[in-house]
Amino acid sequence: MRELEAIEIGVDQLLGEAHLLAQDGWRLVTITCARSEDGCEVIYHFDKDLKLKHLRLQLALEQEVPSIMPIFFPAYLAENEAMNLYGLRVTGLNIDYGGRLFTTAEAPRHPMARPAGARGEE
Amino acid sequence: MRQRTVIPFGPQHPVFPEPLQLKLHLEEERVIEAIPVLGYVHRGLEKLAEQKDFVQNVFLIERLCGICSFMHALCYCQGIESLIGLQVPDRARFLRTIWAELARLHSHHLWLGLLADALGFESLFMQVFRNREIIMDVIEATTGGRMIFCSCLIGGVRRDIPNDLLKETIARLDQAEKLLDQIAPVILAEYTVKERTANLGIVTKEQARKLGAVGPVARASGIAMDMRTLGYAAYGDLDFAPIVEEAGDCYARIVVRVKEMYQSFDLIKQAAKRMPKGEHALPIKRLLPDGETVVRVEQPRGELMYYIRANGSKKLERVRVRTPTYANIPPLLHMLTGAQLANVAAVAVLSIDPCISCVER
Repeated sequence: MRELEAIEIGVDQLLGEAHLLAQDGWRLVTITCARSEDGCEVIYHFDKDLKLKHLRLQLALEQEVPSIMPIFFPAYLAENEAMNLYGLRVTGLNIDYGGRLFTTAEAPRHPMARPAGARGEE
Repeated sequence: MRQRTVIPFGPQHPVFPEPLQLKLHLEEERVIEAIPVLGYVHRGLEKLAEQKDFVQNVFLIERLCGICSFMHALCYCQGIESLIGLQVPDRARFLRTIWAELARLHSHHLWLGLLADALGFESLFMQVFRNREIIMDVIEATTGGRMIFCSCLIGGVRRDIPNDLLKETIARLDQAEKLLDQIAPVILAEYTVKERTANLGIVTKEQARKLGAVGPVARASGIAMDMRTLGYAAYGDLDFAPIVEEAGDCYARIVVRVKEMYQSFDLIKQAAKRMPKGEHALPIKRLLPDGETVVRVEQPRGELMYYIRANGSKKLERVRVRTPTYANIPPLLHMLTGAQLANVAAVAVLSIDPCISCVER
């Protein structure tokens, strides 16, 4: 299996790593959220001069993650999307859509949080 | 004390071809803050892509957006090909480049027509759409489709463009390029267009970097970033350099896109001239994707990124799509801050050429 060359980090390292990348001129491309066996996996994709760097974070269910929006402003959209679709718990988000970036109040709350084929929480 | 109001701009607005709402906080006629409200065309396509098999996904992915459908298929196919270790035939790489540039041409023509209409140039709008029709006819003749090409497949392309049709295509595109010669000066040199767009919605190079701008928005701010320089498809075999402007205003973004239209004509001609002989697709039977990858291509609106994770079965574990308009929303909000209400539609449409279906998926 071919894996992405990603740097594995812990939640406590995220802001420090993001600061270093910002100082070094890296651009946040996006944030990918994916289900893992025991929770959630978050991958932060960065670009500099068309080279990519990825930070990978493994989160347990209900575990919180700090927003990187103060360092990379564009992160707020992807973080709000992950909150909506995966139920990611992001703290310190200045623009917060309350977990409803894309879906309405009547829709399943976190439609991608469960394996494909299963319904969302609500 | 100045009066403050909040007005919902959209989701239905004559200038927006797709539903997008901007909550505009105004002080008199000036925008103090703009907050986007999304979710009007969210279809959960990433979720659906986990339920279809990886071959069916090509056709699903194409329906992510009507304007850049081919680019989505191209990016997705390149991702799957890298996971199964497949090198597509050279002729397929060149054919993909031709269709990618045709997609850029029809997308930029759509944007130019909408721009003309937003500025009140109805006859120019019609001229642009007449020219776009030539491009659409070429797409139809070569792929069988107009908006959804269905020409990109894992392992190559669905159909070849025979040499006689290729010659005919180039002749039609020459005709379209000549018509563009008549249209472009009206947009680029017209006094009223300059008055409406120059020094408006300025994003400096530094701001563009910080806000994560991509595509023509970034290039109009002096950032020479274009995914085509990665050399995917046949771009590595063609003479190509990103078009860059420095002013960072609406007018600079217009200039970049108009020049890119000429560049697309040139790239298609180069690809046709250097078209290799041989097969245009490889079989993928018994090959299954395994692992994870990130792929990027240059859509008409900028960098498109796909993250694909597979587990050696027919179904993928995750398909993440980051579209250029998604990346250009923060720069748009920056452009709108301080703008006059009368310029919001023009600034929004002209500046980032938004594609909301892409953003929401």
